[in-house]
Amino acid sequence: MSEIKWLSDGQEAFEKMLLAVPESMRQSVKPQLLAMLAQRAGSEPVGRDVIFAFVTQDLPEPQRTVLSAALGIKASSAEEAPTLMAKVEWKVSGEVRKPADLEPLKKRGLALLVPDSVRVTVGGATCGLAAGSASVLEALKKELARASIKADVVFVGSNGMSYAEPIVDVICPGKPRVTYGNVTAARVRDIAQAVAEGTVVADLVLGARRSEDLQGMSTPLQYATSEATGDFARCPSTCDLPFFKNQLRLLTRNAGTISPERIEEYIAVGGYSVIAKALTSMKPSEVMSQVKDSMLRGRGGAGFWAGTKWQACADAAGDKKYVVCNGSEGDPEIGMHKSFFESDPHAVIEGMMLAGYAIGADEGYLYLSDRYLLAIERAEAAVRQACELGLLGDKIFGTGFSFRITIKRGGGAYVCGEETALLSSLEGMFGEPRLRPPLPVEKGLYGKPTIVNNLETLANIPLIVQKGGRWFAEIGTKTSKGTKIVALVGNVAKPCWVEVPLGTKVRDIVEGFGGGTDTGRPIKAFQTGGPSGGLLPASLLDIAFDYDALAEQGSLLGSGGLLVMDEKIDLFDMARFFGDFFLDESCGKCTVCSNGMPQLHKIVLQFADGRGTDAHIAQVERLGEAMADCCFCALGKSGAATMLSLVRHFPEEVEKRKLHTLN
Amino acid sequence: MITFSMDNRSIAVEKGTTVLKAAQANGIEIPTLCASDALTPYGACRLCVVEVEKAGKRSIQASCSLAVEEGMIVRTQSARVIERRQLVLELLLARCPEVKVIQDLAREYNVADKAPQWTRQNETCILCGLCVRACAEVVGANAIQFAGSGASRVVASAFDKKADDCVACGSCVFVCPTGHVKKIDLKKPRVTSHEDAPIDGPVREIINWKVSQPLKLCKKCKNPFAPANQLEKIQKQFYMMPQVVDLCPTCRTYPQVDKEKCLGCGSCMESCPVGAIELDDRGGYDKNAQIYKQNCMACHTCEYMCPVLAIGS
Repeated sequence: MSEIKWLSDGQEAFEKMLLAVPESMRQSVKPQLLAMLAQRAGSEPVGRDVIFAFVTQDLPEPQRTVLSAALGIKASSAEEAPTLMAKVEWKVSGEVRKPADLEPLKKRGLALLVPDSVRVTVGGATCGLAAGSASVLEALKKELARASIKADVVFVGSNGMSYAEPIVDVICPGKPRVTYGNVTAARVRDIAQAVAEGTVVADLVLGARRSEDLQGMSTPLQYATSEATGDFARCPSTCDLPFFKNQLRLLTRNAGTISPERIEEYIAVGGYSVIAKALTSMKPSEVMSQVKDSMLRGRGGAGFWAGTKWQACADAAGDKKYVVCNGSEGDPEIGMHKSFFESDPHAVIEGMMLAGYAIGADEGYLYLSDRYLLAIERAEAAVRQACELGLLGDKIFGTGFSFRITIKRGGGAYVCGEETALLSSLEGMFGEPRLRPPLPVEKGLYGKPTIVNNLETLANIPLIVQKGGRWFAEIGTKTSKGTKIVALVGNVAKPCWVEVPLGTKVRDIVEGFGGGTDTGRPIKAFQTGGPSGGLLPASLLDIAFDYDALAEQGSLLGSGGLLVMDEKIDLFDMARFFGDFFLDESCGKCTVCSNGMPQLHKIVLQFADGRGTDAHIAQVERLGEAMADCCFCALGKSGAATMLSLVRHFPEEVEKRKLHTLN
Repeated sequence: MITFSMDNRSIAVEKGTTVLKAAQANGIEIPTLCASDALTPYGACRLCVVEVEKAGKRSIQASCSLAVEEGMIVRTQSARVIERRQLVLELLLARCPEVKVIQDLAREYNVADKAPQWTRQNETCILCGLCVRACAEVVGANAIQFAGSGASRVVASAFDKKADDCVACGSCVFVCPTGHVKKIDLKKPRVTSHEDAPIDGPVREIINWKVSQPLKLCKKCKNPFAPANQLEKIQKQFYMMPQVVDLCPTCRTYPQVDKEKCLGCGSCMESCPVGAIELDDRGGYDKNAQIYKQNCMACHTCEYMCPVLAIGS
């Protein structure tokens, strides 16, 4: 056997590939892989391309799928590789071959979620990590070991209370699940002591709950059956906290409860049972009709009916179709989709599979912004675990349905959230919107019929299919159905992300969950829908948070951000900030956007300096109208929204910034 | 055929035709800066906008990329359309105040003196993308691309270095509506040549892409006539008589049709790589092939294809 000549990128790819092998088998598998690789490479130097070819051509299923997913390459088709590799010892379990195979996994997951020993979870989404939960996790492990308590200490996602991170949940057998907020590494010893003594750290506790409702996706998790006693009885009930009581946690039912990196825990809370049910007892058209009945609208910004889009794609001619999940959330400072995905990635994967089944696609792309490192890491782990169990790949649940998911990292441009720009970016081209028609549902990715759905839209699908489209259509308003995840940021006392039915009053969200402004000053304005939405005055706080009410006032629901500004915020400063943002993020394709944005920005700067004139306002209105009419894509069409909303809703602010000459 | 109404006229065109093409075919003028018959629509300049009424809803659409639909009502001269075109022209004029084609259009739309209210730049490129598309779709060289985003977008060669894939054919110069892309043919390379290795003899420089390519000399008259790389590329792509790559257009011998022998079968027309042959139809079976000299590049493919030897030099 000849020595392998490594190129640096080849070695890197090999290491990455090796990480996909379960840790216990890694050492034994490594020499085998190396031997096979040497056989393939001969005396040639081994680069990235050789590794890719090796994985896609030489490996048998299902190792091929798993390792391809780890390397982020497209797995080749299903035929058995003519391989010398069959004798590799590491076998992907592929243990799920029929729906009943989920049961043992479910048991295993439940034993983790409601264990016989102590389970301690730490909020490990980006908001938690930013607040220092990594050091809290380490400290917890150390302190619990010192107190010789055998405990399972894991990261979970975020339960929405970003303001109270790091959040630690303690589950002792037979006791209610206690939630602690604002835990620091210094206070960890107290928690460990409380666990040992069977008590509660009273000043850190947010609440305790005896069971976890899973919205009918599975039986509720029962932590404690009897009435709480002692310290536990004095804790407020978590479910009755206004933060949880006023929410309708459908999508976020698992967030903060299950570990996003353990597929068993997702299966334990009813995960993958919907796709199993759909594959074995429903026709694609039945799944489709449930989605249509639900009147679900896209959660990415445009608010297009998901059922209509799916039907058009299912009807389009072509044997190859794609499902693309849009996880390119580009709004500055807003990250509810990121937080959600970091908390429950498998829900999105299951939604993609259901979408694939309904429209007849066998391949999905998960497009995530490159800035979301943690989300990408969790997506990779989730896809890998699903592949290993046989939940992704060929003949899922023993049916004829095959589905593969490839994770793609986008550059993070704002315009790549637009579906045709996203497809260009996926194909490796310049991320700029394409001409439509043809619509992506007719000719999308690589010219094949494609649906592009936001990840929140897709996460709704398992719920809809499980509980019925009609049930879903009862939630929300007449034209906006279901719930929406809202990220509350800006001048609020408690920044958080919550899930509320569409049509909830903005005031209820801002004051109920956010606790008013952090400074105590009154609210001056709020913005929905990110930079493409307008600024609305405090007098409109009673507006319903849904697609149509907001559009009527010149703003939009968008992806669900809610930015609150208090009295002291200079609105023209905000306009300048969003103008800067658009100058960078416009792709520059069409004249009106690429030339209009800088002109608009110049005018904003004039106002910010107090040198605005009436002529400027006329120019803004004219330019805004033209941009809404003539621009190529939705980014340009809404490019002037901030300035137009200032003119419309804040006339006295605008007046103050005019140049007043002596006359 | 699809029938629709444009400017109160009923117009019938083939399915899949764009509104712009339908208008041009029917003598309705729509201004445009980024559309070309040879290239796929791109929809960048937004000057060709028209007002479209479908199912009672009026919207503004770019006609270059809008396929006609049965029963749609198109207005190319409504007040809203004119206003939008005026604004587009104002923005373009503020960007490129010195470009003649924009000055002319601005005068036509009465906005020539309105531009001062917008901040002026002194650009010459309007980012229509014609050069990029011509290089990719017609030449197949892909030597240039858009770079940067938003307000800092430009057309450039890769990394703004000498464009290695450029064959200096000059298609980009030909399609550029504003004269932003410039080429120059020189008798000998300038001292400040972009090329690393000095070239002897005549060269063509495409200034924007930092390219200078040697020009080939005609074997007969010794005059330079085309970049050597371009001829090489053409020869690789098509079968060509040597005279096409060796001789300048003046010195080539062109094929001619003997009208007595010609049957009008059309073999030559089908085989012509540049579409320079048409059948001149005089009714019935009495047809003759006709070669249009301005398009012919003297490859003599037709001569070989003629079954009755009616084409000779």
